[in-house]
Amino acid sequence: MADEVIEVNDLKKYFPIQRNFFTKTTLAVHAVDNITFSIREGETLCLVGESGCGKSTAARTVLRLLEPTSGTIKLKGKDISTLSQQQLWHHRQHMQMVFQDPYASLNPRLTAESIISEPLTNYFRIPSDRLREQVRTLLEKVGLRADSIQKFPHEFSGGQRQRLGLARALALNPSLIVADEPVSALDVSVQAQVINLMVKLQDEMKLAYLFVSHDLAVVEHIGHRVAVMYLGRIVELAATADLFNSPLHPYSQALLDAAPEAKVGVKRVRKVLQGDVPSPINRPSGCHFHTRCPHAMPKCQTDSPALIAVDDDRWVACHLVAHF
Amino acid sequence: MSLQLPAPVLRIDGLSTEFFTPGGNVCAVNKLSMRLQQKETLCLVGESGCGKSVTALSLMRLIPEKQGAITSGSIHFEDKDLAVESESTMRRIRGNKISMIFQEPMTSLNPVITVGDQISESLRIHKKLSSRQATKIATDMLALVRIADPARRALEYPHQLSGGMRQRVMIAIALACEPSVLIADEPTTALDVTIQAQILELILELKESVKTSVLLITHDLGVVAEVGQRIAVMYAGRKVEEGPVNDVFDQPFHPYTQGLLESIPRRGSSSKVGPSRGQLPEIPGFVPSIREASVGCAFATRCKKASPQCGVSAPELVAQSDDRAVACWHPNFD
Repeated sequence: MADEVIEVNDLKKYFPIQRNFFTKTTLAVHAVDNITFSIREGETLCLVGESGCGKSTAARTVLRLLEPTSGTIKLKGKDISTLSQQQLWHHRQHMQMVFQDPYASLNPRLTAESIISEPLTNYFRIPSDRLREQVRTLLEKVGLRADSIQKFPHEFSGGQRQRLGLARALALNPSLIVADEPVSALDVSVQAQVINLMVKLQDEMKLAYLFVSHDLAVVEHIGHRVAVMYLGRIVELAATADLFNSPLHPYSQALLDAAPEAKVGVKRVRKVLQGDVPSPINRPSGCHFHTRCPHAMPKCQTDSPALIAVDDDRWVACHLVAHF
Repeated sequence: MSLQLPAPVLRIDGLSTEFFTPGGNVCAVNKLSMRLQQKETLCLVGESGCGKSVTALSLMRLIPEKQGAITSGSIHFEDKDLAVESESTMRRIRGNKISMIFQEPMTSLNPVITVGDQISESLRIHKKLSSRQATKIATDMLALVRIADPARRALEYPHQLSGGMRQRVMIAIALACEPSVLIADEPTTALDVTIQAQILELILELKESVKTSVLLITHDLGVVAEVGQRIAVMYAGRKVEEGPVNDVFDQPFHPYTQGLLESIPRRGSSSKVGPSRGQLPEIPGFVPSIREASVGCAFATRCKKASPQCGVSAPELVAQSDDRAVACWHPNFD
């Protein structure tokens, strides 16, 4: 499709951790293992999964904040996975990041003005009065007062800081914003403000979001499509409504089932998943989920299921589904 | 304003806890009254800084002496007032009759002592058991919290266990002496959802078998809906609403509770055409700092129903029925 902002193909990111001196074999954390997805203009793709499943690593590798082990990343049709840092510099302005912790991701010694103008002065030479004007416009765009330009991060509340982080990300008019758990550090009562703002900005600026979250209610609210990850692999990729109404992969089903709902009256009978997430260093053979899967078959221990299309725009990696 | 119910296990009356800072005393918990009934799960809900964790620490008298103190009020437990009891009495109660589970299992377990010894410690101290008996019960406790191969696990150190297993060990420690009150301070916040579901289920199940009352502190309304019987909502150090979970979720009286419930995205919001992405109702503004002493209702600046009266005097908690109370000048009774 022509309007695809980012296309990721067979992306891998391994972290080598230990090397055996004699056999020369290397142990590695398979943080991201062969993931493929794309995001269109104005679309939100959510990455969900439990801690250690590789969703944050995937997000960072897409931006090349981490060097991919292999695979291609196409930003607006141009493969950026092998570019040198210098060549990459030109492309970085089209992709920006919003971090989880608005306290740690803003320099406490810089004013709001310097924080937001830094990306602009990095790429363009702008006269100072015009620069200030742009910063004011950006502040207003994210719902902050234009006269808070001289304030330091500590003078803002958590929600306001996250707005500041968004203003910084928007400064260069990017096509893609990678947001790693952007609302999970915020108080419940201000989460809605930031979610509403992100939806509004996306509609106005046709932004593509790669939205990493573990909060399924937020994902269902904001995402067009959802990719469920387990131990470095995407196990299911589907339109939000399809996934939430009829999850196909047993892990997606368990994840949706486990998430508590702020709703009373309907006491659900839950199928609680047993056991813990296995270590990403020493992953189970075959389908990584077979150790916890209620439907595991002998085949699951040996063969790793491929991510196959079961419908338009719906992909599942499970032997059960392949039987249909 | 008292709620007419059978004798509670724990009765808190007008509890205030202050911290001493260079800028003057900061009141983290402000005249809190609360009752914990036998075998019930009471959820204490609020956002960061609202005083819910300080309440828990005050009950256990774990506020560091130099930093803060309980300045007024009483905590009735059995026939004692925990607010004024001596430290040695408190030591006999902590971990024995009232015990606590913390949010982060890694930092609350001792990294250089095996988990078996950490469980048997309270048994040896409080129940005066021999170390052999204590070790045996410790192993049984590990089995009770469903850790596979408990005899071997008892000899392991916390770093050898996963996050979910560490929290199970914390629960085993807390329940070893069969306490009458279990305080769980955000017990599942640091855990993944699938593990959270396991731990919540475990707490509820053990609550029945050990016959303990649970004070569950959380910011997650989803957790409250799943496990709570009664809910108490705190805002800026005060309790603003209390009642049975079903009733409060169905019809919140306080505008803050109402705002909180409305502002969280709901599951099942997406339809065939895609995600709703509609405007979520927001609570404007942000959580006030408790350093700024407020006159009147602390929520007034963010409240859509605020009137001049709200800015002048703080509303008292008023009972609306046998089991519901709200502190608001303009409660929502529609």
